[in-house]
Amino acid sequence: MSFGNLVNYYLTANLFGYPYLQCQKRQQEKKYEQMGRNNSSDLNPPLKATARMAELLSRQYLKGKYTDGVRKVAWHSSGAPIEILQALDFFLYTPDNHAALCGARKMGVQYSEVAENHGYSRDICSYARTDFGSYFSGDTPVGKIPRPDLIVVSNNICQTILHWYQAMGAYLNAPVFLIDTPFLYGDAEEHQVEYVKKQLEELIPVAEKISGKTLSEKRLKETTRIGKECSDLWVEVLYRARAKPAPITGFDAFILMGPIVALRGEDSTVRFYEQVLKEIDERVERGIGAVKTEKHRILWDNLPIWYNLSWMSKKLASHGIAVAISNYTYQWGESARFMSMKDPLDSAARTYLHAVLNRSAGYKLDQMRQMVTDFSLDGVLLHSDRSCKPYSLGQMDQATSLLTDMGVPSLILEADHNDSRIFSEEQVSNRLQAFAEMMTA
Amino acid sequence: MTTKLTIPTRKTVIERVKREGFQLGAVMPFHYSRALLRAFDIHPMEIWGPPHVEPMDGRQHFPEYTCQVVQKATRFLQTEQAHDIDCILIPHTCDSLQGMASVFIDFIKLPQPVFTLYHPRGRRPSDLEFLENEFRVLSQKIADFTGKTLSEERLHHEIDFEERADRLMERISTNRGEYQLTDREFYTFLRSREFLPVQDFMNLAEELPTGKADLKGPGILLSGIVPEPMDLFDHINEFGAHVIADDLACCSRRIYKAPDETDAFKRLAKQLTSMPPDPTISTPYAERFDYLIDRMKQSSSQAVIVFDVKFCEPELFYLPMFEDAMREAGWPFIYIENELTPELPEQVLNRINSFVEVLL
Repeated sequence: MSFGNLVNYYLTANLFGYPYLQCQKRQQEKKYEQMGRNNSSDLNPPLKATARMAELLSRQYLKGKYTDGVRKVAWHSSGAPIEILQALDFFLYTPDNHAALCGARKMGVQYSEVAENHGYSRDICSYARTDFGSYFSGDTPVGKIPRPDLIVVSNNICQTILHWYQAMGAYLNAPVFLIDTPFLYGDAEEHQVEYVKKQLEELIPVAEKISGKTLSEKRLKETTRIGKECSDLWVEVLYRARAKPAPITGFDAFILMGPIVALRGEDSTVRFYEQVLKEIDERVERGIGAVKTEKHRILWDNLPIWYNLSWMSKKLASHGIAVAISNYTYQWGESARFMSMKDPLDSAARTYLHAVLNRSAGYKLDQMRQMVTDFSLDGVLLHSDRSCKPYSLGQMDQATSLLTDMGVPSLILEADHNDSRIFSEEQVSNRLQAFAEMMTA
Repeated sequence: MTTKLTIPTRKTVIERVKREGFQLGAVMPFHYSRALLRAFDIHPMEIWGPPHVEPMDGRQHFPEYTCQVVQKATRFLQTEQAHDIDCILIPHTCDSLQGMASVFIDFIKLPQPVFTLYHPRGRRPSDLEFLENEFRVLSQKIADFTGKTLSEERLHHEIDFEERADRLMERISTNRGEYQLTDREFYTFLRSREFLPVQDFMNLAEELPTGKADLKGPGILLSGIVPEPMDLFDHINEFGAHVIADDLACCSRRIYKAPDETDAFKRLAKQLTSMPPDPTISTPYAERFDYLIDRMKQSSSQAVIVFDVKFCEPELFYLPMFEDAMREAGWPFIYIENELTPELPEQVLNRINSFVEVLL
């Protein structure tokens, strides 16, 4: 570690960067206040905490920009167990989050095209194409991406991610450590839990060697405790939308989920979600809904359509539809019930094995049914995402079951989470209108 | 074309094994243990499509961006032709087969039980131990279904057979030029292992006509999942080239090593993790390309054709680096996608023709 790098890191990321980001946050909060006073939209303004979230993530990216030579960097997939890495003081970077951010900034296609020019097919996941394109072009909306000293990937969200991360490891000449999580067609069997636990044990010496530090059991328990606290708070945030009208929508949750994916296990994330909760509670108390005139409440299944978040949320709100819950955002809280300080590795094995994307289509249907009841929903919107087979395969049968067993109508909407080239606003608009009419009938 | 080999049809094999008291297990692609099924008197019959099946019913369950192997198999397994099947095994090969297994177990709910097998993606001691346990769990599920108790001696016996068949496959695959068969005949023979009893396959191997093969034009390494439709081989020959080696999921990617192990389940685990590099088990990129470069050199292949089923993500991820590795080594390379159509579309034929012309 060079002294110059260290000084640069602390000066830029903390001394100068922090006040700058604080200033940006205050400006954003003011903007939201003004939106509240002068708002002809069908939606109420976003939570003020959204500005705080942007600050948290921007600060993380800013640190990342100057972290080379100061802290060891671990890239991890969004479903990977990060507690061990945090306890060893790795700087963490989540390529999935970066890809989503590029998508939300409507840069998914431009990066995908770069990847396609390098031989990658349009039939592979658009997150992967986005990250490949960003790498090949040397361009990113976050300034600079820190080079990995270690890549930790877990296939508990898909097999695709393993191919994607291995490719990045090959391009960047970085070691890739896999946490292999056997898919659960039913309940987890003990040999599956044991397998994941063993791999976590095997990760420790690898990560220790790269970090140059020894894992402290106390620190691991602490990161586990904070991670669980974050996840529990996140579930509380989402479940506040059981209130009528829903104080936040799934679209707010898509935005607010950034820290739970990339920064869980940090005190600042706990404080952030406490702030979110407080603001939501104020809304509930005052009867303020995210959608001004809430007529229908629905569930969003699958990843968001990042490049059209705003359009989609406005379009749904124009029909009085509030996305009260999304099973996608819920997955970062759902399996936290397994997390325990008593045996961090065993509990991490159970937590990460039970990720909803690692579970059967039938389990996902049961979860949807529960949400329909818990959130008093009128319908389900299933995003048939060309880039996410683990979520999308099974939706046709899920939709049939929801209608047959519960009388709940659903809409299967084909799109892609990052590639806007197959999205037709006009067509989607017509289908959403028909869906709203179906729920009214 | 006159066929020099007499290979029984799937139908004939089914009738025979049923008469012999075997149950029939339909198996989706592609890493699994034939020996474990045989040890329970279940005859494995693999399903790679099939190409002649219309995927209509498959589309009621899966979106159009799901590969045709899944779509067509879903349809096929619900037809009358599948009534002889007693159980189904779906190995966890990719996200699509994962989805297929899940939909069959949770929604389609056929009368036959659906077993699954998770193949670990790593090659660490923990991966081996897991696979051993996975086989034990699968074995117990099959025992519950059949009402039979597994004899470890029988399992060893069946593994012995499979290992011998693997050695035969290896020897024959790496000596393509020594068999007087057309490419189509040669691969029809290799693929007969997808449905023949192991002893029949070995007997057939002994009957192969040996002698210098009449191979014309440049030799090609054929990579991909499954060469369907099989007239692909006829067209390659017709255009003036031949297939001298393969890296096909249904063929050489399943030639396993023979580990020295006394415990039958440990033996199975070691065997089933000893396959050549393969995208579906996430072999590190460099390892796979080093292996393929060796295969190209050993077989004196002069070019590569990758022939894949559309929407096969594991294959697609490897493609750009695969092409780079081959081109850097000086070998022409072409990638062709097809949707398991009964016949190859004109556009595909034109591409293969142009590619071969460049080689001549």
